[in-house]
Amino acid sequence: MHPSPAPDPALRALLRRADPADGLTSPPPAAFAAAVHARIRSETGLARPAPGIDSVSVTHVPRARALARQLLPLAAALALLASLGAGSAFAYAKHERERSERYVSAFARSIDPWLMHADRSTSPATPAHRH
Amino acid sequence: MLRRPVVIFILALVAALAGYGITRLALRPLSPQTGATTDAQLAWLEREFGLSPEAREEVRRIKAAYAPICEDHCIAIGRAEAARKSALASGDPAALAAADAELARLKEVCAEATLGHLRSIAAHMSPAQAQRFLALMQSRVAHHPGRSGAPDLAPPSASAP
Repeated sequence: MHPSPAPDPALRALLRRADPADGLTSPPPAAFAAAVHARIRSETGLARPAPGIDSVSVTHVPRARALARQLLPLAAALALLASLGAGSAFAYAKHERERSERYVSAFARSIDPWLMHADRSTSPATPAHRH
Repeated sequence: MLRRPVVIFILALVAALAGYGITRLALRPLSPQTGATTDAQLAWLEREFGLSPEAREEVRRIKAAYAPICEDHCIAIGRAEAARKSALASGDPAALAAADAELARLKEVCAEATLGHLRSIAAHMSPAQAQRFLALMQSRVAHHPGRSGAPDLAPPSASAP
């Protein structure tokens, strides 16, 4: 049998355009699997899991976010109530401090003759010491 | 995503300010005569320092017994200050020195009497409350080291008209 002659380069180029598989080599199995997985993820919209996360964690992350979204209004309402209470408590505490200071000052003026004298000197019509 | 927590924070701040404002408006404003009467002061002592009804009445008796002493000291201070003013007006150095010495003596006497009175009241409280009461009041009475609240009654200086 006569060996076939070397193909004409022009003919070879024509044949290559007709056959896309011409010149391709088989990829290694790991690379092929990675390519298939990437194709599946791109078609289904699933995000690529971070290294070290198993498939169970991948499904739990969207659930945690959904739960957080559901609880956010309740947390916001609680935060507003707590702020309202804190503002009221602060105002009440300030009022009580001022009240206590008035009583302390009045008591001191009732027992200290120097303070009593000062009160009488500045306002002789209003005695500071009453019984 | 960040906008929602920021809005919640701002709303919480507004709620806190609203709570503060509404409470301040709702609370009865303090009158200038708050605590001016003996009954009001005794009620405050009872509430603040946990006095029993018997202790409250005892403190009332102590205050009533101290009132004439306090009044005498007040009158003596008025006389000493009047004497100092006239000594300043006359320019007599001996009279001025005597008036200053009398005022210094009165300061010491009054400080001792006031402290004794406070201690006699504190004796009717529990030890912890008594300590708190003394610490609170000693800083308020005149001429006590560390006094912080009441106005000073330093005699007018020689340069004053």
